[in-house]
Amino acid sequence: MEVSNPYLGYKILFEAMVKFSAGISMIKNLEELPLEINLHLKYLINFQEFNYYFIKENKVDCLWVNQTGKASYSTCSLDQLDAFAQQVLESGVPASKYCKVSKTSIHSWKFYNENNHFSLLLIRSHSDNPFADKSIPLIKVVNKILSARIENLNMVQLIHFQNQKLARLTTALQAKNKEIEALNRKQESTIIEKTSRLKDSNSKLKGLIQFNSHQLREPLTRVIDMVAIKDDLPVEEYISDILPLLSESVLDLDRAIIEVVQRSEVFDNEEN
Amino acid sequence: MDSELVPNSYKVAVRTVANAALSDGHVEEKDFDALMNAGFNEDEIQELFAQADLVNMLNTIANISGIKIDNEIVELSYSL
Repeated sequence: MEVSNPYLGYKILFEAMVKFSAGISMIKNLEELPLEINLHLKYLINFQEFNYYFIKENKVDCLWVNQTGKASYSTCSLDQLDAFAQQVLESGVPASKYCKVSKTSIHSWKFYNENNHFSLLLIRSHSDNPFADKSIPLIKVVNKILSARIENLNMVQLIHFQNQKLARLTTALQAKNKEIEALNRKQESTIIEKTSRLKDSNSKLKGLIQFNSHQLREPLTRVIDMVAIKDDLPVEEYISDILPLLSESVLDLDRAIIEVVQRSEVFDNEEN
Repeated sequence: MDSELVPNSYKVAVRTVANAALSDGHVEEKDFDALMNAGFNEDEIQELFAQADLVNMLNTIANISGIKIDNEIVELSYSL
């Protein structure tokens, strides 16, 4: 009795593809990607070597997986790709070639992805375990999964770099803010000090004005009044009674002027 | 399992593990070599034979208990 299920192959592939997709989506950086591909790809296609190039402008992300378990990630420029890859890249037409010596065949496809990026997929397989034509539809799905993940990881990396740059700029800005705050504080203290000195000067100036008004004005008024009564008194009486007082008042005025000058000098010295 | 859709490494794994699980656990050096050549590393081979071991144990319990093997396993055993 032989039981056959025509959909078993599809079920197996579906399960393998789900695991492949889930595994790829768990990857956190590009360096781990080839190892994850290596883990799942043998359940999807026959291959000896799997090369995947994700091309973004002139930068190429190269993923290489070998059936024996070796895998690597590297970057290169477009002109470093081999002649066969360059040919497929330029023509955009899928191509394959067979090497009789090594009994291996290489299949290659170019895919146009989102954001004007494209990818190149190369599969080398041995004639003992050839790449099956029926697996070709899977290649498109594999490319879709890989290109989306690489795009995503590149974006995450870019965001990470920009965040780091932003953090550096924020630190620099915070340092500058601190400098500005220190300068502001210094300026404020200078203003407070100058205001205080100005208030002090004003107070002293006010004192000086008050002194001038009282000490200078009083003997001067006496002199003016005594001069004013000159014609009202006899000359002898004026000379004997008023002149000594006038002389005393003039001396008082002189002393007051000397004091004003001294106070002004002290004030000037304090100001300087 | 003969489908061209299924890659050889998958077929080798299922064939070897099914053989180990369903044929009283007769495993030889060439079975390990076949798995290595199909691209499986030591950890994966260990995991595959752990699966075979589990199935073997469950089959033993099922035989003792008189439980019938489900159709998918029967189908696999015939398609190998």
